[in-house]
Amino acid sequence: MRRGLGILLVCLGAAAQLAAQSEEMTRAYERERRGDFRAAADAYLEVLRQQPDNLSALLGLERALTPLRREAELARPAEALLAQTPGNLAAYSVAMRGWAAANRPDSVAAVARRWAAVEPGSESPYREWGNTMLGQRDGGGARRAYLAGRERLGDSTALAGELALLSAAQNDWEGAAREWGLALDRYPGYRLTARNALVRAPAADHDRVLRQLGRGSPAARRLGAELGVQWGSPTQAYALLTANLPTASDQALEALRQFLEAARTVEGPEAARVRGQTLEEIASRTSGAGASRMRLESARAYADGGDAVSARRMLTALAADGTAPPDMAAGATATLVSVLLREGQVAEAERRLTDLRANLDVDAAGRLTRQVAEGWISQGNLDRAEGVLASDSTVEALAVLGVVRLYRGDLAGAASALRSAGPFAGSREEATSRTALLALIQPVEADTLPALGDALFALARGDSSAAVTKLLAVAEGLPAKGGGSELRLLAGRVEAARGRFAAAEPLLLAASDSTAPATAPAAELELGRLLLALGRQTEAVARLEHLILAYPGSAAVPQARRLLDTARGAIPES
Amino acid sequence: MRRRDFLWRAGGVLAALPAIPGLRTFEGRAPWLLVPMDDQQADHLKAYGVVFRLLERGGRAEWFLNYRNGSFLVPTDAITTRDAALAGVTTESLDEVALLAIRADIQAGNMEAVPLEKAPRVAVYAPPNAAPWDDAVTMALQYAGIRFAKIWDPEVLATGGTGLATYDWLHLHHEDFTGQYSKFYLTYAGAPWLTEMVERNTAMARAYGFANVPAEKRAVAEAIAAYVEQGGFLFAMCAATETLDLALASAGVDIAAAYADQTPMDPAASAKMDWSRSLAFQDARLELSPTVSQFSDIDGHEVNALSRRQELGSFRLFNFSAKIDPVATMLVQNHRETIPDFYGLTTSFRKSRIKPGVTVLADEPGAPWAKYLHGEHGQGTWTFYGGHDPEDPQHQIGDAPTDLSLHPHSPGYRLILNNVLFPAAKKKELKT
Repeated sequence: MRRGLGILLVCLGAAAQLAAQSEEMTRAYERERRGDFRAAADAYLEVLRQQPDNLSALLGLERALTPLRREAELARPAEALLAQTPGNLAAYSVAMRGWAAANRPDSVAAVARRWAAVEPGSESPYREWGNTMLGQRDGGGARRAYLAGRERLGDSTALAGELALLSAAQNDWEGAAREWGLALDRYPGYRLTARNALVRAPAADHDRVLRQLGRGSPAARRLGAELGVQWGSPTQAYALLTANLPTASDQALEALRQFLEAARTVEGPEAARVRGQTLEEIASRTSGAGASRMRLESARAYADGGDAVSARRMLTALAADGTAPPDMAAGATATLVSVLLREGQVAEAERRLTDLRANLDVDAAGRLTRQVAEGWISQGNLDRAEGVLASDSTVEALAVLGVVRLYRGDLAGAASALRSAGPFAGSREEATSRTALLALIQPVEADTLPALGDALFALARGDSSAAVTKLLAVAEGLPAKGGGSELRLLAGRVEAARGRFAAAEPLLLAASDSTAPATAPAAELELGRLLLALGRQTEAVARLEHLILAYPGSAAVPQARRLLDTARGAIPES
Repeated sequence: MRRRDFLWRAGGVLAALPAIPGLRTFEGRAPWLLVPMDDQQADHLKAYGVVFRLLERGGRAEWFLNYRNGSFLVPTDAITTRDAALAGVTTESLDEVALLAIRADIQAGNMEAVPLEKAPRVAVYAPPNAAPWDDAVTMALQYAGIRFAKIWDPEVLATGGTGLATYDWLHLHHEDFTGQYSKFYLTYAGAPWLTEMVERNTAMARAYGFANVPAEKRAVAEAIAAYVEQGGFLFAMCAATETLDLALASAGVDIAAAYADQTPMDPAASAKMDWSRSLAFQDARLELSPTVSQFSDIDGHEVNALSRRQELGSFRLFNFSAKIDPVATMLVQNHRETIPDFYGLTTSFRKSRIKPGVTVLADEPGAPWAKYLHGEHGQGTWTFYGGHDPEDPQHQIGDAPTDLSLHPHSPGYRLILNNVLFPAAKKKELKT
């Protein structure tokens, strides 16, 4: 009976001790949560004093000591824990960080070796050792740790990823490429990480990186292709890729997709053409709706890259494919029409649009119709443009019709159509451009003025020299207030845009005529810009000051003030 | 006459019209223009420039503290009217009856009319090739059109401080007066701008016979403190606030990392500092790590000590009695009481580290730090404003410059310009 009572008392004593420890842990958590790290650290240390193998308390202690910058105090409790439970792997890394903070690199290495003895064949001890040295900004120490692991494990590809990242951080990009090549052989899943790491290499190192990868396995060479496309050599990169595609079709498809992903980040016509080639290759290895989608994307990419022949080839194949889903057919039709228009084959585009209109929804058909009309306008065939638009009553069509009438010199008809189109047709830039056209013709009293239409049409076709001559001829016949100033301002802007500043200046000066107060502020602003561009600071400042003081209510005043600030160096020029 | 023995005119003197000789009726025009500084103002920052240039031309103005958020009264002369119109500064014509009514309001409320009579001569302490866009004060002065001179160590170290004596108001570009290159030496190692900074400062220290850059910068800090003691107005932002005081308090103590003076920092430096030499702070603990771009625990936000960094909040300007404490009132004139905070190498000032007697002009409610401080030293005054750029709260090295034409109402920048104009105020004998 007495013996039984003794056992019971011992059990009760142990339970009470456990409860006290648990209570102390709770207190420690609570203090940590409140941000009282000093008190939390004391509480965790108290738990570890009673129970040295409590890993949760050790980890809590690390969390509390880190913001206090007392990590060096971690080493001893971690060692005490390891002495009791050498198989507790998490405690090794804590011990390493503690010794590192205490500036004891030899002790860090010793912990790593003990860990390696417990877990032979594992990279973890060496990885953690290197990472701990990196945490101390000791790149050399980290490298020694990784290389020690590689030697000890007898595997020339071990810890390659870590060494690659370290090499890159130390600006040794060639070394980083070599290590990534090794890492890819061991872990193919590193490819994206490797690409994202190496793509940051400075331009001066690109050739060395690519040469190094070229000496590696096919996987390394494919990585080189992905980098090559991102570094501005898409055509060579694609050739490198196709020469190193895996023989297994699913792996080849995956490699093509990875290359495509890299190529999508690059702009420019050459990259677009390479995207087209890659997509075409993927399509040829795919079936069903996926293949149709790839062909369509390929056609768009070819078109973006200016390779109309290849684009049309893809689109024609797609249009002929009766099994293609309807949305693909619509997309193909729209792209085909756009490609033809870009090539200047307006009649062919119109014919294709008529044939394939059934594939398109109303909005897409309307948009393409207007593009065809604009194609006719650009070729000077205003009748065909108007004819194409005849059946379209949308505001977007009215906007194009307004422009057609303007080029005919039908100012009243143009103003009516442009006003009806309002601010909602097309993009914001198009709406702004319509407003500018309206502002241009509004002061002109005549309902028709073919010479003005002719001048504006010359400008639209890019014949700015003829446009300026014609605009000035029309301006001569108009009073300043009745459109003369407005046309001189336009002519001056065109000359300035052509870099003909000497020709622009008198035109802008003439447009600054105060008898046309609606035009004069804009002309003075333009003149101020021109004078600044010519380095005539004082004259520019005087002109802008005159604008602000003479036309304080003008919408040009805020811009004039900003320009004035720039001219005086009061705000950055960017 | 000693500056701190001055104070702004006693209330009521201006109740009689017209108080300022320069403010006279112009033929055919209302005699005065009010430059409102409330939300009616189209460009708060340029308004200071208009007043400053008027003073430069020998004209006079008045600052109506707390009246429409600190508006200005200027004469309706042709040049001022033109200047305001060009700058896009809102003005309102006032006849004598309207002005009388305003003066009555000022007399009755917590407001004051302070005459402004002389444009201060302004200097900005900055390295010769510092980008103009990298300093908030330089940007504010340039945007407002306030003329200033750029000076650096040669002017400050000129025999007997004669270089500084030329100026009424001195702003410190965000210099590190501990001579540790803002402690960017290790983190930005190899960056061309840092290399250039190190070379320039080393050459300067050598040219003036100092053993190293920290020693030379401490001498510069002491010359600046002497300038204030002799009556100068000092305004500092960002790290210049904290490092100036650390440099002053560290006479005979090695507080610089080994890369700056070839000897490691004294680990017991915090205990050896002589805070009787500093302007604003005391009892600070120094940052011992050479790789952490912090100097001490004066800064409450510690932006570059990642584990200790505090989030940005907002700071609140204090209200002062305009008639009793016009200086502090002038410095907090604003159209906003609460202003979004912004980081700098030194963002804020831990209240536990501020000396007794320093006036806190703004703090973050509930937080243990202040943002904006003012105090006296000898015959002069100093103002410290934490943070780097009021309109770029997370400013990073190499960021695009702030375009102030996009922030013409910036309340944070307005505080800077209050400081520029405050030395222009007419001084009166201190009554208390």
